[in-house]
Amino acid sequence: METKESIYQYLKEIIVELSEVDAEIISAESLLYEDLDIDSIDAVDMIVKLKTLTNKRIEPSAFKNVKTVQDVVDAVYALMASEQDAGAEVSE
Amino acid sequence: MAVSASQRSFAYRLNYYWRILITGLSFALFGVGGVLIAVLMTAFYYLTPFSTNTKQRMARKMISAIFRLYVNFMRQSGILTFEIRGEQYLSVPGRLVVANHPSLLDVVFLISIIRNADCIVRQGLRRNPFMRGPILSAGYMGNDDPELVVNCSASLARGSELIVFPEGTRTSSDGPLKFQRGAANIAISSRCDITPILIECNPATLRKHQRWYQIPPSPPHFIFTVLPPIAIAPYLNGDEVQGRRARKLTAFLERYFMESMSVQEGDATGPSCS
Repeated sequence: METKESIYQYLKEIIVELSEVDAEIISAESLLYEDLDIDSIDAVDMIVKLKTLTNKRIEPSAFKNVKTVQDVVDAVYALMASEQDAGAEVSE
Repeated sequence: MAVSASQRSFAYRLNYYWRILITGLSFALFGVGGVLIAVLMTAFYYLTPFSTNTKQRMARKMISAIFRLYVNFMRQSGILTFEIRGEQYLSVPGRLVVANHPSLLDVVFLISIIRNADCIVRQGLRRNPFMRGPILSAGYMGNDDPELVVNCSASLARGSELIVFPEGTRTSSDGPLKFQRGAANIAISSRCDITPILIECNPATLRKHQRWYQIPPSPPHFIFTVLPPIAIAPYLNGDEVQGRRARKLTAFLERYFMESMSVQEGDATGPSCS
C-alpha cells in the first residue's frame, strides 16, 4: 500500500515526463491546468500511467473534481484504500 | 511607417478618406448583408427537402461564394489587395486546415477559397440571432461543445476541410508564435493530414485591439500561402502518449510557420504582419 508521499513522488515524475515542466515548480498546491499545462488529453494519459501504481482500473469519474496535484494524490490514495476494505464505498 | 510629404498630398488624403468610407461600408455590408443572408439561409434550411448533409454542402458553397464576392468588392473598391499561393494544395477532403491569425478577415478569406469549409465558432456567435441561420445551415461547430473533438473527427470523416486557428485568438503581439494544442489533438484524434496556410498582411490591419477606422497608410496586401501538407502518420505512433505527441506536433507547427514567414518576408522581422 503506497503512502501519499510515494504517490506524490510518482505523480511528479509522470507530470515532468508528460508536460516537460521542471520538477522544482511542482508542488502539492499546483493547479494542473493553470500551473502545469495539463489539459484533458494529458489527464487521460496521466490516469493510464497511475493505473500501473494501483494495478487496478481507474474510473476517470474519480478525477472529476480534481484541480491540484494534491487532489490527484488524494483520489489515488482513496482508490487504493478502498480496495483494502472489502465492501467499503469509494469516496471522492 | 513615417508619413512623407507626398503622403500629406491631396491625392493621398482623398484616397485615405475614401478607404475609411469603404472600410466602414464593408463592415456595414457584413452586418446588413449578413442579416439578409441569414434570412435566406434560414428559409433554405427549414423549407428545402434535401438531406442535412446536402443542405450543409450547399450552404457552405453559398457562403463561400458570398464571401468571394465580398472580398472582391473590397479589392475592387481599393481598400485591400490579396493573392493566393499554393492553391494546388487546397480542396483535399478530410484535411485539417491550420492557419495563423493576424486579422479579422482571415476566416472570411479562408472560407472564400475552400470549397467545403467547416470551422469552430464561438458560442456567442452561434446564439447571435443574425448568425444563427447561416451557422446552423453550414453546420459549423460550437467551441463549448464537450464533444467538440469527436464532432471534428466526424466532420473530417465526411470530407470537410476543417479550419482551426491554433493561436486561439488573433495574434496580439510581435514575438514567437504561440500555438495551443487543440489543433494538434484534433489532427491526431482524427488521424488526418494537415494543410497549413500562412496568412500575411502588410501593412498590419484589423489586428486585435484595433478600432475599425484605424486603417493603415496604404491599402493592406494579404498573402495566403497554402503550404505543402503535413503528414499525421509520424504522430500516430502509440509508443508515446498522445499528450507528448500533441506537444511535438504543436512545436513543429510553430516552427514551420515561423520559418515560412521569414522565407517569404525577406527583410521583415517578427511573425505578425507589420
